[in-house]
Amino acid sequence: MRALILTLPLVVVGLSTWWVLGESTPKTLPDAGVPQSCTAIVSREKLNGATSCAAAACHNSNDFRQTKGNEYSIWATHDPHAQAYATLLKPESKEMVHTLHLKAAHEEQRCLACHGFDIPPNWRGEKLAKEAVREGVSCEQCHGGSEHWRSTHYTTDTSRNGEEQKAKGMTATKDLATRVQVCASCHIGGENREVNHDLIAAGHPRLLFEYTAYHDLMPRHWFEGGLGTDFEARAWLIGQIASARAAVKLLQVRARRAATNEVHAVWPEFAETSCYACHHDLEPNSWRQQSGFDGRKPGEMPWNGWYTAMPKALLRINAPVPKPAAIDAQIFDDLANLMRRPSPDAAAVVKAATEVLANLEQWLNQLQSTSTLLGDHGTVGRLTRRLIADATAGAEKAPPGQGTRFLKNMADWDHATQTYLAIVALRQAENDLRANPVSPHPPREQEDIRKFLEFGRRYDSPRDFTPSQFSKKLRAWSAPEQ
Amino acid sequence: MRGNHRRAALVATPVVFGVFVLWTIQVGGQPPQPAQKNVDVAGEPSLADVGRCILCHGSSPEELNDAFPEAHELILGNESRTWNKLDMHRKAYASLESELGQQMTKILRQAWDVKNPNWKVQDEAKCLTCHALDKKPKEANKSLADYDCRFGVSCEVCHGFASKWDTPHSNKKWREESPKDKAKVGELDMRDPNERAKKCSACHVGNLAEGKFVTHEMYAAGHPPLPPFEVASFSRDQKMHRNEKDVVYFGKLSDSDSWRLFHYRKGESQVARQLAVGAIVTLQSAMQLLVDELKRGEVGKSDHSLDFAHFDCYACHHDLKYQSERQKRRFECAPGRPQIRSGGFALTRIVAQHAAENLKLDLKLDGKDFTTLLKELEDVFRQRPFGQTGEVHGKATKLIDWADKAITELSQDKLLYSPDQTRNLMLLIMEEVGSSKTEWLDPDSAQQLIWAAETLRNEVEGGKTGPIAERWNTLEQKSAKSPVCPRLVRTNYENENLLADQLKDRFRFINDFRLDPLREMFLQLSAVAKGEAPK
Repeated sequence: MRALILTLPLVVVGLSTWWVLGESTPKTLPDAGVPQSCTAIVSREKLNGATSCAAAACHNSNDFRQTKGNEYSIWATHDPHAQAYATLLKPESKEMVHTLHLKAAHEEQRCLACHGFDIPPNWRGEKLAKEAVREGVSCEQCHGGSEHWRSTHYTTDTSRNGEEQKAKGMTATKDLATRVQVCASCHIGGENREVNHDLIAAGHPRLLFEYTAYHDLMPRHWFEGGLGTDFEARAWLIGQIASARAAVKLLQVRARRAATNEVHAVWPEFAETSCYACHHDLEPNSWRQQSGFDGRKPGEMPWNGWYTAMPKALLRINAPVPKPAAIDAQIFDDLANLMRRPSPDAAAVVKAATEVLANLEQWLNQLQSTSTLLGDHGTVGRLTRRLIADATAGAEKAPPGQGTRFLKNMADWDHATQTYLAIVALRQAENDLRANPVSPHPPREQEDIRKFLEFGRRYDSPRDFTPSQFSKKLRAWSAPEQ
Repeated sequence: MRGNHRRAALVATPVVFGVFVLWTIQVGGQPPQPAQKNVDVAGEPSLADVGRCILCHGSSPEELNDAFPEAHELILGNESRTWNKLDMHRKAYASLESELGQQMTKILRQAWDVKNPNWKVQDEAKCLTCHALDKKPKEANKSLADYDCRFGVSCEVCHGFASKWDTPHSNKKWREESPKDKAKVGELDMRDPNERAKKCSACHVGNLAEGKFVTHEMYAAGHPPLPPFEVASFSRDQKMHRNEKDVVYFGKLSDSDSWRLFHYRKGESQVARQLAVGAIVTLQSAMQLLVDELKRGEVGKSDHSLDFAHFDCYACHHDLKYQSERQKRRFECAPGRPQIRSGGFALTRIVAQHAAENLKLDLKLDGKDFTTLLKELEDVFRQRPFGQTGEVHGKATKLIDWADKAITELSQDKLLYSPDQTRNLMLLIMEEVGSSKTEWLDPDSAQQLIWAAETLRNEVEGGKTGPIAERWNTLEQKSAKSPVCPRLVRTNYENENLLADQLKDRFRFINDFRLDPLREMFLQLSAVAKGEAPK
């Protein structure tokens, strides 16, 4: 049900990027001979391909009445990750590489890094078939190279011992921060995998990752057993902070390349910029002009706020969750202020990003080590209402038709959509925590907002969006105290 | 005696007119006096004021013809009235007071951190430098008092400060003075295609030395995007205050005099020459603006780059679409790396091609033609977003030098734009838009080529009617619901909301711009022009 609720176009664009693997540093294998672009994406162990998991008695039961034992079958038949490679053969992909003057997409390392199972020779396990590249994003890209656990992980002795499996190279996907990190390695990007503005301009969809929304779209081949009743709220919270960490880390990588004058450094990197600040049709007296440009100078390019909108909001409202004592929303603003320059000072950006990263790391650790984050529905409900109040702050003072200028925090579609996704996740969490859950059917107001945030037919940008209308709709949805 | 009455009437008309318009200034009241002797060239010319001009240029063609038939050979007599009533320049200052001006005041007061709460764009030199008359154009630091804000862009902004030539130029003998000598006392040679284009470009493209530059910040605050400049079309668009029958007088002169004194080649289209030279000057002004901005200290600093105003507006500013025409175009450029604003390049390329192939002129600089030099500049912006400033400077400077050479070549005393060549140039433009050679035209370049083609058609067909005009009108009516091709507006200038209305229309054209229907239309037009049966 929630998968349907969340089917925003932004989620659909995710279909095109599905290479996932931990970012762990290789330990057991030497770097020698491994193409530089591959080292960071390869797991700690050799890989053997999805076929090695696909025995009928193991994960390929082909019995869709149950999940257990049918993991491979679900992936192969329902999971878009299995289509990641096939995407490269589509006409759209051919157009893209043509435009970029690249090799065929299914031979191009830049594309295969996320879309294929492209393993350098000395990382290939003995069972790995040549044509495995066509698997797209398969088992081991999320779960880790199976060389050392493939033959033991199903034995009763070891399968329940997470630590032992981890030592053998299995990724701890039950650990939410690790899981989000695995997803983010493609869906946000990193050192050797990135969707930059060149690719986007050539036709690649913008990356727009929000963990709970993506999670709901997955045809799940697992259970979230043992993760606590506050799973939904926890997943949202950790998803937000872990995603922000990945995004700032990518910025740090890009800025460092520019600061050290790497040959292929692209700087300024427009993918770091808020897409729709520039990409909108021009009109006289637009809402952007009416809004007073959100504290920027007119005509400056704002830093993309998708990944920091919610962490900042959480700090603004002083949310009842563990967080570093010294953290201040100002660190995000400092970074944003540097990034809005036409050609940001790369060295200064590296420095500012490093500080933000340290804070986010600490925040994430604190969240991870707290067993129950948002344990009762009352707390979750209050958090939701405060997020709504924060997003719509100032709207109450606005005379009719002039809302945008009065909004204190709400800046753009990215912020609005993150707010929407947060509320959907938190509403779900609140319901989960109730002794007597109410109907999961989304209220009319929620549907209304979803439709409002959707892009028009044949459009890939929010042409009819205005912050004031969004805040009006959001206030209409604001739930009464229960 | 009768003559005196006529003259008195001629003086009386502008005085009445002057009372209406010039309530803030004193009207001189002196009828024009013939110059007694050679002009005194010592000292700087200063402002004579609109009131002086009105005395002769504020009546009507009939009255002037009645009173001073010889003067009517060159002027109409109602220039000031035309300007006052129908010329957009007259409204230049008023537009600062418009709703849009107020919006910009509100935004820029905050952006520029102005302490004075009563500050408005009308107080700002950066705005007044184009929207009013600059009384001290050669001085760098100016105050509000250095601008005459009463009449927007008035006579002497374009024609030069007239204190030293207002009286003598009413003498018939003035016609025999060379433009160079006239310039010594401050009269600018607006009949010279190069000089006119430079004067217009200063505001319509920008000129940093004169403090004229619409920055991206101003655009973001609401300044309408400067339309792609094409001097011949823009001259035509303004209700012209030139007496087009002056060519009859030029015809009486010797060939060399008519060229030397009035830049008129018998048998040539002045409009075509103006268009050609104007295209080169426009490009040169854009390049000069780029170079001048690079010279300003700030740009070299690590976190500074060129102002976004130099770049193609619509490369970024468009709603994103599936099946994007931009992606279909097989980027000549690197995708995602904005190119320099191209309004000017497309027309310049065609003019240069026509000059080389049809007029057999050598426009190459160090063996490189315009297309090669332009590609070198574009490559700089392909290699890195916004380009390495040093390389930009080098390549743009080369283009400035190329333009100097091209302007000299195109300013020769030689029959260049004969009726046949004018037609050829028009055909080249139509084919360029219609052909698949042009992989992509941004809305600005397309607009500029549409205007240029229309202006040349007007020249080729000698007015509003003709086979091409008819086909054009038919095609336009067909596409009335979604116009593919906005022509010059030339509409009701008394409309108070003209600017705002125009802006809405322009944005509509830009936002809905699609190349294919425009191509189809221009293919048909060029077929008609060539006398071929259209498909």
